[in-house]
Amino acid sequence: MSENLNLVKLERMNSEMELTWSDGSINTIAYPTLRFWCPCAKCGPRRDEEELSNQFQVEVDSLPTEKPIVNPVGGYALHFEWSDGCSSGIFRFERLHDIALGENPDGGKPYTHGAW
Amino acid sequence: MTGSPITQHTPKSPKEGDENPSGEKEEDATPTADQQRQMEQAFSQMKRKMTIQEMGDKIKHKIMVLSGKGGVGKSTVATGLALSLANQGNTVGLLDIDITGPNVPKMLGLGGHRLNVEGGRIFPAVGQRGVKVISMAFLLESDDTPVVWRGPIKLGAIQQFIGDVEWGELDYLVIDFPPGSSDEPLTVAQSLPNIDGMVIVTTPQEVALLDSRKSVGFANSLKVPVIGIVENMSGYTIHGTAQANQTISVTGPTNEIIEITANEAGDWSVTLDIFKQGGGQTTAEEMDVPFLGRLPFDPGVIRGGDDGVHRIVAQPEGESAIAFASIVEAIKKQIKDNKDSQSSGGLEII
Ligand SMILES: Nc1ncnc2c1ncn2[C@@H]1O[C@H](COP(=O)(O)OP(=O)(O)O)[C@@H](O)[C@H]1O
Ligand SMILES: [Mg+2]
Ligand SMILES: [Zn+2]
Repeated sequence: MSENLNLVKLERMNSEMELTWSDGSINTIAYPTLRFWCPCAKCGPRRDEEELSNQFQVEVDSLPTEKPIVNPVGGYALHFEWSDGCSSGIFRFERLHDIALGENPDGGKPYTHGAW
Repeated sequence: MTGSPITQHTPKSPKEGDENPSGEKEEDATPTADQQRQMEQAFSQMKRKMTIQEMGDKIKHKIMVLSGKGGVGKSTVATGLALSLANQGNTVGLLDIDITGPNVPKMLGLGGHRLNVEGGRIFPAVGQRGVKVISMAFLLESDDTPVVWRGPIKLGAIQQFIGDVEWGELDYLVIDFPPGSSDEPLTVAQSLPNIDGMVIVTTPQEVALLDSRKSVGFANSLKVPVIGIVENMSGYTIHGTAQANQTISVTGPTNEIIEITANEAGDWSVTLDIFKQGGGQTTAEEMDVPFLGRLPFDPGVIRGGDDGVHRIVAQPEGESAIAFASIVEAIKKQIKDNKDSQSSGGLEII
């Protein structure tokens, strides 16, 4: 993602959210997808291996459908609060952009501490 | 943690039978040594991540201090800001991760101090004005031994310095980095939530100014707001006495003649531009970042030795202390302005 691409608008729908970027592009992230890519230290390692990862995907898919509370972190990231499941991750805008484009935001690398 | 230079820290292993991160496929499968190590690592990472999150709340403000090149007085400024904030009654921490020359302890009378680890937690040293200090120097065998850190070990140490330190509640944490665009600021920016921003230290010389332009670019790439630029070693003030209202002339650094008129009491003073003054401000304007102020050239800014004393402590009402106090005000105002513009403008959440 280019250095100057910023998130300008986030609209929460029932099962997904719509992101508007400073270059005018608009895309969406379904909530289970967002929750699957939680960058926190508990969820990160759960994506490291295929079997674990599948199990984790099943888990987030079965979480109740709800709109999260969104808290901006600095000018560079968002924190999502859910009534159930994990609310620890801080998502940098780059990460959200990668997720929205269907790319692996961890760059295919196993979890390392601090890599948001 | 493997590869960590802080050997005293042994993370507690997860108890046997506790939730097995590999999904509890087989009840009686004893984890291999490798798996065990991975589990321990994940566990200590998780614990650290939790304390880091907690730290985000316990420390109200986090300020990074950087410069494009070494020797511009970055550590002197970082220490001065910490002392000046402490003088105003704030609880202040100072994290010195300038591995190229961690000299903060010596500026606060803490030379020779070593890392204090108890029960797996690191306790900061307490310097003048109650400033809590953690420095890479605390890990050295002696203050004069240079260390060559391999990348991963260095970054591991920094993460421990962030996650495992008992800072307690702080109003401000000031962080002194190595000069230039090293890995350290990235590691910190990725590990520590809600950094208020970066203070860039420069001197009025052209080379330093060029480097500080790079620092602004660096801050942008880290997505850390620039709080502003401080111009250090900016002019040297000389004082003298003459007859009341008498005009005298002084020869400046480039042989120019400066005329000064003494006041009613016969006192006069003049600030000589040792380097061309005002470059920091011009750079700030050019880069569209705030200019926070100038600090005078002050040969006695640090009284040397292991029991070093910063000018702010030695002369709390002196010229340098006043200059620091005004820069602290500018920083506080900027932090507040940044917060306001973040919460009002910027991202729209529906
Ligand atoms: N305003 C100043 N006036 C005079 N000397 C200064 C000033 N600021 C720093 N110095 C001196 O310059 C040297 C380098 O300062 P230091 O803070 O260690 O720089 P850095 O951290 O950028 O490498 C030290 O000897 C310090 O005492
Ligand atoms: Mg230094
Ligand atoms: Zn999580």
